[in-house]
Amino acid sequence: MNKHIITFLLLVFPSIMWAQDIRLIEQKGVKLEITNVQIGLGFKAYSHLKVGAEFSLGLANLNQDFIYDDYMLQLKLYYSALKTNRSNIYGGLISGIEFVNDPTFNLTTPYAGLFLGYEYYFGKKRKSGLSLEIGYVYGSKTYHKSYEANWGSIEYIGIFENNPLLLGIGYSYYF
Amino acid sequence: MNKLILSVAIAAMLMLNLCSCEKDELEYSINNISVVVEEGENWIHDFPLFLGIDLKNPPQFAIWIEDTAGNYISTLFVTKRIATEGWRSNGGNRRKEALPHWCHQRGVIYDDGLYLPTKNQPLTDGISGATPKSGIELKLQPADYLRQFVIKAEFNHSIDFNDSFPENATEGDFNYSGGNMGSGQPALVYSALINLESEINEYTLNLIGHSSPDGSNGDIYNDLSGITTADKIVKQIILRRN
Repeated sequence: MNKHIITFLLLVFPSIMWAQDIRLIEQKGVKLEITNVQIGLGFKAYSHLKVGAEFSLGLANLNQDFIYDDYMLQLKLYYSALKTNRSNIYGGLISGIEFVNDPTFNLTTPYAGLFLGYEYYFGKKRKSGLSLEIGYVYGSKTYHKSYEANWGSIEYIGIFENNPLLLGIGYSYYF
Repeated sequence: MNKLILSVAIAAMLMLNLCSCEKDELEYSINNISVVVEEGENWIHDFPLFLGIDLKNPPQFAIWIEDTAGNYISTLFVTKRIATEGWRSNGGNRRKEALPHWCHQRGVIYDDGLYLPTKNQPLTDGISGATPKSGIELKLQPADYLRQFVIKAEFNHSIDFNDSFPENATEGDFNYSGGNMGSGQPALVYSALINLESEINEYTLNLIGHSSPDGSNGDIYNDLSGITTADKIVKQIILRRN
C-alpha cells in the first residue's frame, strides 16, 4: 500500500508543482466533491491548452454498508471541450486506488475509467465553481480467505468489484 | 511542456493500476473438495431504499457441515450481514428469521437471547464474507477422520413476500415472517450426505424444506407449497471431489 501512495505522490505532485513554477497553469484551485461513493478534497489545475489534472483524497463508502470508513486516492485528467468564463464542459480519464475496509476483508484496489463534467463559474471574479460529473469506472480485485480447525480447512476466493457508476457534485474555489 | 506533464500524469495513472494487479490463484490439490453454489434466476432481489430507488440485493446464506447424527461441526461460509449484524434499513429487526436452521444448529446463544452473532461478538468459526453478486466456490479439505458428513446450505431473501407469506401476517400466525422488514418467504434448506469412502465424486444438495418463517425455532418444514420464487434463488449446489 505504501508503495502505491509514494509512487502516486512522487509522480503527481512534482508534475503539478513544476507546471506552476513555469507558469503553464492558468487556473488552479481546491475542490470539495461528493460522489455516490466518496467525499473528497482535491487540488486541481488547468493549463492554457485546455488540459488539466486533479489530485484528491477522500473518505469512501465502497462496500455498500453506508459507512464512510474506506479511503481513496484519485487522479483525474481533464480536457476542456468548451470553456468560457462562465462554464466549462469537460471530460477525461480517472484513476485511483481504493483502500477497502470491510469487517470481513481489507484490500487495496486500483480503478480506472472515463468521466464527463460540467462546471458553472460564479462569484464576482468567477472564483467559485459548481460542477456535476458522471462517469464509468472499473475496479476489481480477488481476495483469499481461509479458516482452519481440527475438522479440516476451508478456503474462499472472493471478488470485490467497485460501483461502476460515478455521479458527483463538486464545489471548487480558484485562486 | 504540456505534453510532458500529460505524459507524466498518464504514466502515474498506468502505474497505479499495473502495480496493484496481484491475482490470487484458486488451486486445488488432491483430495480437495469444491463446493460450488450456482446462482438462480432470483439470486438478486429488489430491496426498496427511498424515492422508488431499489437496491439489488443478493441473498443471505450459510453453508455448514454436520456429522451424520445431525450435530453441527462448523460453518464453512456465511454472509457477513448475519455474521456481523451488518443489517441496514432493518428497523431494529435482528432478522432471526433470516437463517434460523443454521442459527439453531450452531447453537450459540448471544447476550440478547438470540442465536444470532452481534456486532460486538461476530461469527468466529468459519468464513464470513460479502454476499457475492453471483454464485460462490469454496475449497474444503476435511481432516482424515471426517469421512462421512452432511453438508447443508440455507438461503433467504428479506422482504420476499408472496400470498402465502404476506407482509401483513399477524405475529403468532404460522406465516408471520418478521413484519414489514422480515423475510416473506422463509429460508430454504438444502442438504446432502457426503461419503468420502465411496467412489462418488459429485454430490448435488437437495432442497429438504423451509425453515421457521418467524425464526422462532430451528425446525425444517417439508411443505413447500407456499414457496413461489425463493426456490429459484439458487440453481444448484454441487460438491465435487477433485
